[in-house]
Amino acid sequence: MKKEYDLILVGSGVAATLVAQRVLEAQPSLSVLMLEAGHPIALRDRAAWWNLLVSNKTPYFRTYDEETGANQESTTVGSTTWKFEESRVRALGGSTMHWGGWSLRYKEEDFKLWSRTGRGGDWPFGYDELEPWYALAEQMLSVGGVASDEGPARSGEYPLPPFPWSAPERFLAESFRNAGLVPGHMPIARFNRCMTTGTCKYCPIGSRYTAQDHLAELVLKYPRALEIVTGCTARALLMEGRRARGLKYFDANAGEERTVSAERVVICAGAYESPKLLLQSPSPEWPHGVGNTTDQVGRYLVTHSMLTIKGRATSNKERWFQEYDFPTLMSRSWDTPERQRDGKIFLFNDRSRPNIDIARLMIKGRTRSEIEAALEGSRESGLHAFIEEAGGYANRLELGPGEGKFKLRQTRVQFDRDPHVGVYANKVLRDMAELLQAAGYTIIPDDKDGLQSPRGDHCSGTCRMGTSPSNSVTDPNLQVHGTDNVFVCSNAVLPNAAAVNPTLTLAALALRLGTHMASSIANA
Amino acid sequence: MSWSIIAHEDVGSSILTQHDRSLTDAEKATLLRLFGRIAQHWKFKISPTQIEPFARDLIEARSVSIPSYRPEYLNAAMLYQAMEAEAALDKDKVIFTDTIVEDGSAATTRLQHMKWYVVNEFITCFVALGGFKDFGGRNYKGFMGGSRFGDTPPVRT
Repeated sequence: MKKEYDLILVGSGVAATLVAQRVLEAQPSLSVLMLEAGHPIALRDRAAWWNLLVSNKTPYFRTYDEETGANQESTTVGSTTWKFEESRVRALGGSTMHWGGWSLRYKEEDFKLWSRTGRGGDWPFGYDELEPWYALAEQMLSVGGVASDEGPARSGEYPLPPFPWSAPERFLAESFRNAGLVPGHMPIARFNRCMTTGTCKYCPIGSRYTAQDHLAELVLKYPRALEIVTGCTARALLMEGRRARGLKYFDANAGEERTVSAERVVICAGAYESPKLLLQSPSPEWPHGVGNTTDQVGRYLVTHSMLTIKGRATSNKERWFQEYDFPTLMSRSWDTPERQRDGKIFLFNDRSRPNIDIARLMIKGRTRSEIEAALEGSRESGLHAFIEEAGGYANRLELGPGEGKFKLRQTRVQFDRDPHVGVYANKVLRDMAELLQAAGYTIIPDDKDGLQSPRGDHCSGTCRMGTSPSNSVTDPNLQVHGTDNVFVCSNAVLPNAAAVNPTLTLAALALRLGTHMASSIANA
Repeated sequence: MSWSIIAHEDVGSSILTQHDRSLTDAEKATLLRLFGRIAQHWKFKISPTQIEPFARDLIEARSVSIPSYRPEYLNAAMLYQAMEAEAALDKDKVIFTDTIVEDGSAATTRLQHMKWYVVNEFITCFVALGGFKDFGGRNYKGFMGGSRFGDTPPVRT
């Protein structure tokens, strides 16, 4: 490892990967260091694949946040419980190692959500600015979808066709149509052939995009330029006035703290670790942390929570059962500019239904005829929706008192749910129930259904971008206000969560930043 | 020794690990015969030989990567051989119907270990890697075969 680099990327998920790719494509002689606190996950590992298939154990579950017990590393305060469990992977490749591959664009109106609805935040630029980068991101991630499906304006087709609806999804799509909704195909980032990564909870054939796979290609292509170190946790930016001269990090491999110099630093460490690193970097010029002159860092934590409902039909003579382990039916019809004043909603089918676990019945000792009877006896179906939790200034992330796994500072989340979310959720749940009932299902009462707790999976906003230090942490180019060479490129910069998986949007921003950065380096 | 005595022998912490070694070809063949009984017992139309390569891979992968699995496979092979030696024994009934283990921590005897660590996984493997087609599907939770770019969709549509 060198002492000095042109660029340091903190984190190794999709954002860091795509920034590195764009910079190195344009400037292959640069020196780039990627620091990852976690470790690689075994890819194309037959044993890991079998372990997932027969034991349902993923190879990354040990990287998840521990919310309780002696090794607790996150706490939730405030009136609403915030869930950390299974929401991020701390490993090489980041959360792409467990994501479902859902790759949706934000809608045009999401970029002015605050101006139009009084909730959430405005982006400092519009959809048109990001559209070409969305198109490129879809190419990079190999997204399959239908361009004519309901959604924002597109400059072209998806690079791959969609997964077709399964029979029960096609049946449910008819119910959508009858209710005036436009059924669409979930855009999903999956390659054609199986990569046998053994990490794909939602698709064990492993054809899903992972940043770790992508990084392996980059290391082969730029062996002298790109250096990736794992087990190294960034602890503080080393600031000299407006400039970061480098980083202090803990090297778990050596068991000691070290420093490294850099011309520029891009923090690609998710919505939790990105603000935490800024807060952990006080200096005489930045007494409350880098970019935190007006107490913006960690603020405006937003997410979307899940709405869940399920129903049962009295027979299943078609013998339908779950054939995908991911949803391919969705609708954005309830997410109109008019309804967005009440809240943002994204509707999709329950991937786990209809389900009959044939193997489980065999393990229980059921006979063939008993299994056949169970298969034809009844059928369940379900719907989910994401509802935006736009939150506000008071919803925030802070540094916790100690360190957790990977020597990362503990995370403390203060979250109070806007009462309006619960009101609108009840309306949407009634609409979802009507959809299922119209398809012939009787709603199954279950206390576990309804509006779920807010979770960290898709959270954003803790270093939101904007036009001024008074209302944001970064500028429209993701540069931290008041600094010369510190950038944030993670979900933290997204002013809202748009009720959809944010990964494609983050990928688009990363490609945009990497391209701009390469140009500015060339000009310099 | 009678299969019954072996089967109900309590598996202490040392009994299995004492016999940790690589599986012989004969022991692997025994395990595959056990795997093949799944198709017979549940009257699957699909031939177990079509799925057998996956079972071989499962045994190989787990034997190599998870050291504790070698003794489990050796235990299962030894016990099944003992059961095969008693011609009058309805092995399928003992293994598939009478011995139900749904929680690994509840497995204390050699038979229960065989059921939890070997048979239950064989069943999951058999169903996910093709057995499900007997019940009408083209794909199944936990497995996905075929290409979405072919003329035939990967699922019933």
